[in-house]
Amino acid sequence: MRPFHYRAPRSLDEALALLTPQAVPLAGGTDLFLKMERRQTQADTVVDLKRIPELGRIEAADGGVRIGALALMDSLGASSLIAGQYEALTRSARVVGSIQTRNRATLGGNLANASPAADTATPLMALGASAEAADATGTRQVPVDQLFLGPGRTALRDGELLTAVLVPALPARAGSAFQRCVRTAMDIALVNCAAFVRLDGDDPDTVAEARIALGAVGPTPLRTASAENCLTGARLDERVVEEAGECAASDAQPIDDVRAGADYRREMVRVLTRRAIWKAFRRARGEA
Amino acid sequence: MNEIEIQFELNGETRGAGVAPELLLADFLRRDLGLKGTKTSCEVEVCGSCTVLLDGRPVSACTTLAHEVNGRSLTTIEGLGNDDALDPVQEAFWEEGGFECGFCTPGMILAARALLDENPDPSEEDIKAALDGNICRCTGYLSIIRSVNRAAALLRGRETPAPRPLDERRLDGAAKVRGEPVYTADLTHPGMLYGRVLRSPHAHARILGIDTSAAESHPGVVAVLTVADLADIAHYHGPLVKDTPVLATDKVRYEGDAVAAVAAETLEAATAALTLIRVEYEPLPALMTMDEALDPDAPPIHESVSDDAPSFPGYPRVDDEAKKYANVSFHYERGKGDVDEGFAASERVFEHTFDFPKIAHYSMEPQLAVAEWREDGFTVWASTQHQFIVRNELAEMFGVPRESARVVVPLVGGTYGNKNHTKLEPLAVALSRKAGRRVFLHLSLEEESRIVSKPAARVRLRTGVDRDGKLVARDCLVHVDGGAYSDSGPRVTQKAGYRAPGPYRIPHLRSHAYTVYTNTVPAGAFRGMGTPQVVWAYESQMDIIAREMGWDPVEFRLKNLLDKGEEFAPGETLLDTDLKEGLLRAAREIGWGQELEPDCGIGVACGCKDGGGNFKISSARVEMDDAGGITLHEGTIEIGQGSHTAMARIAAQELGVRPTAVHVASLDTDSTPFDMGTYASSATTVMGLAVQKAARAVRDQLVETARSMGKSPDAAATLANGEVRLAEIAFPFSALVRHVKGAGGVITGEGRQVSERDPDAPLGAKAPFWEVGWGAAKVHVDRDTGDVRVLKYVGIADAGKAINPQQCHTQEQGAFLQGLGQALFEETVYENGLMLTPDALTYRLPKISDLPDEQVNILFENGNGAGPYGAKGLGESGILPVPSAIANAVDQAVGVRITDLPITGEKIWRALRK
Repeated sequence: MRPFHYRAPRSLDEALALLTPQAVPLAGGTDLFLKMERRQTQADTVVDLKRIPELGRIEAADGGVRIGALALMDSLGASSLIAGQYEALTRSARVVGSIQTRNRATLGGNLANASPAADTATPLMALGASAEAADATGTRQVPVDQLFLGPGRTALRDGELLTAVLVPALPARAGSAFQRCVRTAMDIALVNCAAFVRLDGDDPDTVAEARIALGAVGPTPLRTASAENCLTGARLDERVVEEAGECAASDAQPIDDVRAGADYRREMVRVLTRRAIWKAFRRARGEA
Repeated sequence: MNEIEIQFELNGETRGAGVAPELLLADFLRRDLGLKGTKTSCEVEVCGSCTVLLDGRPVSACTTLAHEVNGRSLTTIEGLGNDDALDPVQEAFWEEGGFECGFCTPGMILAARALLDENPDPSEEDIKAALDGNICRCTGYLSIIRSVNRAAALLRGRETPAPRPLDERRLDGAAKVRGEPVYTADLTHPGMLYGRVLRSPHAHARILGIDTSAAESHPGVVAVLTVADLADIAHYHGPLVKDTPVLATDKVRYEGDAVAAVAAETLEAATAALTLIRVEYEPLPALMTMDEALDPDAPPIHESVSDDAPSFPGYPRVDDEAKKYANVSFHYERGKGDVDEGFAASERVFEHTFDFPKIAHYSMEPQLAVAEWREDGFTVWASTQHQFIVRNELAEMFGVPRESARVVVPLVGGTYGNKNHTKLEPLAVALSRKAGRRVFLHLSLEEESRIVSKPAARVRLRTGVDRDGKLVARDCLVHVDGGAYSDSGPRVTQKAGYRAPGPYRIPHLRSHAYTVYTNTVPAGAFRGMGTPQVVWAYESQMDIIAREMGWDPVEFRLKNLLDKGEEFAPGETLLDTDLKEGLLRAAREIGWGQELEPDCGIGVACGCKDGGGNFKISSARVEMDDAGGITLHEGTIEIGQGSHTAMARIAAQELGVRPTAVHVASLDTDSTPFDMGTYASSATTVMGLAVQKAARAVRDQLVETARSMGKSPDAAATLANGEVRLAEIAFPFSALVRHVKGAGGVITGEGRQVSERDPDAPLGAKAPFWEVGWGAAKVHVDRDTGDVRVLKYVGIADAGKAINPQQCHTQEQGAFLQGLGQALFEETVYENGLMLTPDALTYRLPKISDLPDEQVNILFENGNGAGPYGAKGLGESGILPVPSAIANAVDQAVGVRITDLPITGEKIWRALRK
């Protein structure tokens, strides 16, 4: 690896001051060091965020949960604040890489890398989460579904740091689910899908609100508005779920390459969306 | 840049150090602290071999920075157990044989330790989840799961299982579970140079010029090697066709072809210098597939290959048929009867084509060589399967007498054919010769996949059957994608062509096989040597025919399988196994004929190969010193298969001692008696007989001496507990040795086993035995995604007599899992001339979570082998039936026949949509 300067600030302010254009923030390092080994990242200073205590916390906040950007995938997968509530997020955190990876990879790193296949991105989008970004002038919130601009590109500005993710309180009669399909390559999702469903207070078969997010089938993780519209206000049955799957499949923008054909990826969107909706629905009804 | 001062706890002791910010933890441990138990393999945080515990949690040292341990507690394999006792987890892995080559073992044990610290009573599911980031390419994981269960029992302290006696364990176990530096990869020392190779970025290109000046002046660089430095040596090597240059001469023939090499004081300097070498290329059209290479208008990838290159004994020269094509390096044919007549007489003739893709070997220890050139010769430490063949070839290439060329082989961190014959060794020697220093030639795993592969093959079978379900005629056409250089490709082709008809009684048959040059990674040996490719074809087609004709696939096979004692080919060793017995057993175990759940199917397959190699020569020497100590010198390389243990057991059996009383000497061509190599499941049979003879020669001397000392020339003698017993009198070995040889004397016994050449045998010599594998799979297919889940697998092998049953099972389980990977997902993929799957991030290797829910492994022990006590070789057998058994089961489950591996969900989905 090319030599670099190393800084380990103890506070967020200190870190923000160090994040010059020549510097790169270090979270878990699982992706960064590979990029540095392969000379895909040219930075002369690495700012290690792991010594900033508040960035690693997972805590209850405003009825929901505030997850520090440096929270480990393993902590996320095991957190009792998340498990049982935000099932889609728990499931996704538990499938990122191997246990060795989950012991070092962070939520912030998974998001800030802006991989279209990032496993935690779609659950957070489905759960309506926001990213908290900080720079020297203050903090702002960016909905996770507006965080990604393209492969490797986020809405974070120069000098701005992803500090936390805020997941809103889970409403009553709501549930979420995460599905993914892995083919060929080791741990990279061919397609992933997260669904969030909130049921009507009067009719437990009717969907009051739905959010469906798809991963690895476009330049960024994406919401599928047509599938959500199809579900919202509908009484859930095979036909509606089938239609939502169709809508999701037509919103997907999968690539066609030697690993899989676009039509197969699109079909997997349909299948996984259907499965995720049913799972989320059953959880919302307290059946699973 | 500035060093960072760190303080941390290492294996319970407080340590301080100054480390560069960019220093990786793996390098810090291995290089700076000399703790070589942390093995590095994939270097991309996938394989888990470098797992260490940071504050008790498993992390990969290959992608963790050294200074990240600051203020934390780090446990490496050296921190488990102590000088007197192993940690219970290490103990359990040794007892249960939860390892083979051992390269992944330290990481595996640490991951298991972390699991058990958190969860003292893990379920099988917990174990699979905790170890899913630790790849083992050898064992097939079942013995690892058993080891973790045993470790859990030991740690809980209740229901403590009785310890397995040391004599029933592998002899290399203690060293491997401790992570001792027993591999070539561990032979790094201060003061040596590091070598790295510059590889072609083009699939096919002419080299117009190489400028090394900037690299030469880079700090730390000692030598930059180009083809200009090799003018005085025999530059081409190869086990069969000498078409492989040490460095590319006028052109490069695949992405990854070696163009230049650097030796430098540090690995970093060598790596940096590679980027400073300027090579000017003129790209040429690349022939990436066999179809492109066989096109009549295709240009030759090799303009000329010397016709008079020395060929392997019994290996036919390139014939006229091969010469018809620009890119065929070898052609093989066999036949009997008249195929056309047979087809004319058939009720139906079926024609199908089956494809098998290129596969990466991915042994956990990459290809490596360390070389030291001296004025009077050289020494090479190599991770190889062929110490003497490599020595002889190197001596010839460099013009050095054989006795001055020395090859030392430490334990090998896995090989499945990829380390056979000469690979990197000439380059390491040439680099050391130019640098004048010892050079450690380092390859990354990503480069490893560019050295050799399992060849892709296309097998077309035309098969005629009569109305009674008898095979009448079969015409086999096999094309083997040998890649850019021959390596063992022609031999794979010969074996594939020979074995392609399958173990069936077929009156009329013809088989043609071709090795085709393409601009892809060279292809050579891989477990089974061309047999998995052809079994895939013939066992798939047997089911297709049965289904089309409305016959039961098991019945159809039973009607046609060769009987025990029947001839596979004229002049060949008669079939020494009952194929029907195995097939029926596999069918019974899988539940053949039982009603199945929806979308489930079962399939059977069996495959066999002439085992043990054709021209193997093995020799062994047993020495007994005047204290009765026994040393066994034999050249089988311990690649994980357990040969040290098996050979020691054979010698021990003959001498009436415990296996642990036999010391197996390290392997050095200066002192080890000649052996042809470690390949073709040959060791137990061929070397086993040599060891047996050597031990018997010692035994005979001991008995004779005892009789003479006891003045009872005809007394019955027994050997036990280090004594020869004649009736009532016991003579300790030590006394016998001293009596004959005096104080300090040594009794020596030699044994030699040769597969004699036989002009009447189809391949020039009769096979020592038949290696057979039967398999049966039960699968479930998800109709929505096409995903195949193997619910149950039954694997049966013919051990003859298992010298080490635990290890025989592990060999077969490991072979099965490689077969499963190749059936369902493994594939080396190219696009636009470039390999898309060079590393563990992009090439999918079987993980512990890929195991079927249920697995049954059976060993037949009928004493029918040619080796000691009726033993015969196995280990390749287990891979043979896997892909076809799974494909046959998929067909039964959802009516989809996949003829090109791997059987991906997408292919099934497409077929279902039709």
